[in-house]
Order: sequence, then C-alpha cells, then structure tokens
Amino acid sequence: MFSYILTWIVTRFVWLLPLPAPPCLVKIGNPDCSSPVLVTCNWRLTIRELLYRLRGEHLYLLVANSRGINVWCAADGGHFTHHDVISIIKTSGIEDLVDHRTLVLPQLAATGIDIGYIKKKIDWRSVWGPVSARDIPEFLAGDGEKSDRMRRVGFGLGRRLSAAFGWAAQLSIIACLIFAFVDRAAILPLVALIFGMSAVLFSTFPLYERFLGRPSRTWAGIAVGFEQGGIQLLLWGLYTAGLVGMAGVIGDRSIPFLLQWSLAGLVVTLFLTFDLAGSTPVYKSIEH
Amino acid sequence: MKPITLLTPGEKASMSTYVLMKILESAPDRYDRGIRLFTLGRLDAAYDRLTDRIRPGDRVLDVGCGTGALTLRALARGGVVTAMDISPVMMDTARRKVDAYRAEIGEAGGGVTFLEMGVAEMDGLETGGFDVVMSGLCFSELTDNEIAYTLDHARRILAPKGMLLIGDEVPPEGVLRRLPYALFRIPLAALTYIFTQTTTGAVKDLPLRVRNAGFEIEYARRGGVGGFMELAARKTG
Repeated sequence: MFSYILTWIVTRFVWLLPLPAPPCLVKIGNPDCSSPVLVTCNWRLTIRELLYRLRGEHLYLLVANSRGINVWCAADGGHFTHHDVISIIKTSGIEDLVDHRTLVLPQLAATGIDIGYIKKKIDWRSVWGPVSARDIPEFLAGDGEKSDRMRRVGFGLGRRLSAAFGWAAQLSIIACLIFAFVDRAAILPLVALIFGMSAVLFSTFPLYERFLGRPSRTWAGIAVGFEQGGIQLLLWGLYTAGLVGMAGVIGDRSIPFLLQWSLAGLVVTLFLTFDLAGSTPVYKSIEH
Repeated sequence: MKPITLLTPGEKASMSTYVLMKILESAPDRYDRGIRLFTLGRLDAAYDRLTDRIRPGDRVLDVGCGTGALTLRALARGGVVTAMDISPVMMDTARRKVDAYRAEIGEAGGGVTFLEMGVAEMDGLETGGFDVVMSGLCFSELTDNEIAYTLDHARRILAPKGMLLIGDEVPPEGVLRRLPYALFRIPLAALTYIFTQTTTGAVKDLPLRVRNAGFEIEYARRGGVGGFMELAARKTG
C-alpha cells in the first residue's frame, strides 16, 4: 500500500512522462498450472495498483511493453498492440508454467489489441477483463462474468481531482523553474492560480461534459464547446472577473497588475486545456 | 502477504541519438531522408559495408525491415529476401521502393517477401532456412528479453556457418564519450517523446550478447562518436 501511494505521488509530478518498469512475468501468491494469466502494461503505477488489488490472489501477471505508458493511452496511441502481448507470452516462459492457453487482457486495451491475431498466431484465447483493477478479484471469482459497473469507464470526482493534481503539479514545477529567475515573489500566487484553475476545471467536468466532442448548433454548446474555444474563454472569463473583484478587495486595481495576472490566467487556462481530451477517459481526442 | 516474485531480470531505460528516428517513423516517407540527414549519410555507408557480405542466392531475413534500407541492398546483391516488420505503414514504403527498384532493373535477381510480424513470432520460421539474418536499428527498440529471444531464433534459423549482420545504436565506451553523448541525447529524447510518446534505447553489450547466443564475431566497427556499431558474426557449431 505504501509503495502504491508513493508511486502515485511520484506519477503526479511526472504525469506527462513515461515511467516504464521492465517487461516481465510476476507471480502473485502461489499460482500453479491452472492459475489465471493476466496481461498489463508496464506503467509503474498500474503495476503497483495491480499488486495492491490482487494481494491474496494466485495468478500470473504478464507485464508487457507499453513503453511505460498507461494501458489506455498506449493502446489508443498504437504503443500497446497484439505484437506486445505475443512478445511477452513468448519471452516470459509462461507457456511452460500453465497448461491452459487463456489470457485476461485489460478492457481499456481493446482499441489497440486484435485478439483474433493473437489466437491465429500463437493459439492463445483472450478475454477482456474489467475496466477497473479493483474489480479483478470479483471478475476472477465469477469465472469472467462482468457486471455493468465492470464494463463502464468512469471519471468520478476522485479521478478528476487526481488528474487536476497531476496537471497542476507538473505545470507548477515548470512555472517555478522559470519564475525562479524572473520574479520569485510571483511563484506562490502563480502556483495557487495553477492549482485553483486545475481544480475548478476538473471538478466541474460533469457540468460541461455533454458539450464535449460534439460540434453544437446551440448557443450553450458553442459557448462551452472545446472545439470553438468556448470552455477556455468561459474559464478565463470567470477567473478574470474574480481577479478584478479580488483586486478591489486588496486595493490594487492598477492596469499593469490586472493585465499581468489576467494574462497569466489565460496562459494557465490554455496549458490546462490543450490536452484535456487526453486527461479524461470519457472525452476521446479527435485522433481517436 | 503472499510472496511476489519477479521472474526475469530488469532493464534500465536509456536514451539514444537515434531517438529522432521515432519521430520520422511516424511519417515513413520522410524517414529515409531524415535518417540520412541526421546521420550525415554515414548510415548508408555502414549498411553498404554490412551487406557487402551477402552473396547472390543467399536466403536473407531482414528483421525489422522498416522502409527497406537493408532489404533493397540485399536484393541488389542478389539475395532472396524475407523482410519482416510490425509496422504495415513502414513496409508499404519498403514495398514501393522494392517495386520501383525492380521496375528499373527488371525481374532478374532475388525476390522479396514481406511479412507483417514481430520478433516474438520468429519461432514460426523454418530451422536452418536462412543464410543471412540482418537487422538495422531494430534491436534498440527491443526489450532485453526480446533481444535474447531474437538472437536465439536467429541462430536457429540460420544454416550452418550462417551470417548475422547487425547495425544498431550502442552506448559509447568510456566516460569521456558517454557524458557528451548523454548531454546531446537528453534534449533529443525529450523532443522525440513530445512528438511520438516513445523513445529508443542503445543496445548494451551487443558483442557479448551475440557471442553468448552462439556466434563468432568476424567484424565489429563503431561509428561516429562510438554510438553506432556494425557487427558481422557467424554461427558457430
């Protein structure tokens, strides 16, 4: 649990970077020749979560090469394919350890893996596991039966705040590095701005989710649509209004102050939203 | 808590001067121009030296053929080539180049068969079915386990005294060379990752791995600042 939490914290600060673990075979518990064989990616946080969620189980976990990227992004981006699954099966020695030929693949890898190809090339049957690692024990206990919850991709408040923290942490590091040479006094308010904007953007996601990814003809849809830049303007507009109000409270309504921090808000908004599609599991990017 | 066992040794991520290759792979038609520019034409010369060892009629396997740089050279030397890669897009470019070459010289000489497959599927290739196994800038994209697997099967599918030809990125020898090399590669790797979300890794201990796989090295040459190796080895036993 501690290593999972530690890995989670680290990955918040390197959210945009790969964090590869070595492709390998992991024995969980005391598996035997009839134990399930699960496949996952080699992003460290995923592996840590699986080791935590699967404690008490007896199975083989194949860590396939996804270039250190989480399974969903890797599969969608062509970095986690049936070739990688075949590779870990062939190079791990799993074929000598089990007398069955059935794999459990992560559901979110479906966009990148052709299970027919795997069956044709190496005669391993594949089944899609649940979306969330926490459901794997129940999935295995139920002989592969999946409830509706196991099939659904969610973006609940916890995940949204996790994404918010990840984005904010990385942007803050960049901001600190730049402003350490430019204006140190601005670092703390800038970090507060970044975290605040990020929290608002992600926590209010359900309010504008239905307008995403679909060009709209209604004024509401256009106003908040990402493609039209609406959500960015809305967020920045609200921030600027708040900035003016706050300037009145602290007694500094000078134009340079307002312009400087309004521009900062605009830059932060654009950074936070340029890959919002990639940060959520429910808003597909235009490439996909 | 139940014991958890890692069954295979780990590998460290490393960066590469050929990381820009990953950007170019996303646009195969620009790949050859880009690689030529990036290596100042030296890669062409290295590939020429390696493939000079191919004789007419040799059955050649090109592992990770990409856009066909080695495939075309083997074909030009009269080899009967099987070219394999996991990227159908890269192979399409290779296929067009082969067609253009054959249109120019006629149908004489060896032929080329393209197979969309990864190194992990080499176990399906015929034992002793090739005289030459060659690979250019492919091993640097493989994991340690995949490299071992590829070398094992390369030895199996080679005829007695068959030849293994490899041109790939290796870490330079010595601290004085590795430091500027790393400083040069870090920004390149970052840039490549931004564009492609991937990177490559220099192949550590390539000659040792080749020897351990059952080959005798006949020729090994480092290029540039020592970050590229051409290697020709013969199957022993």
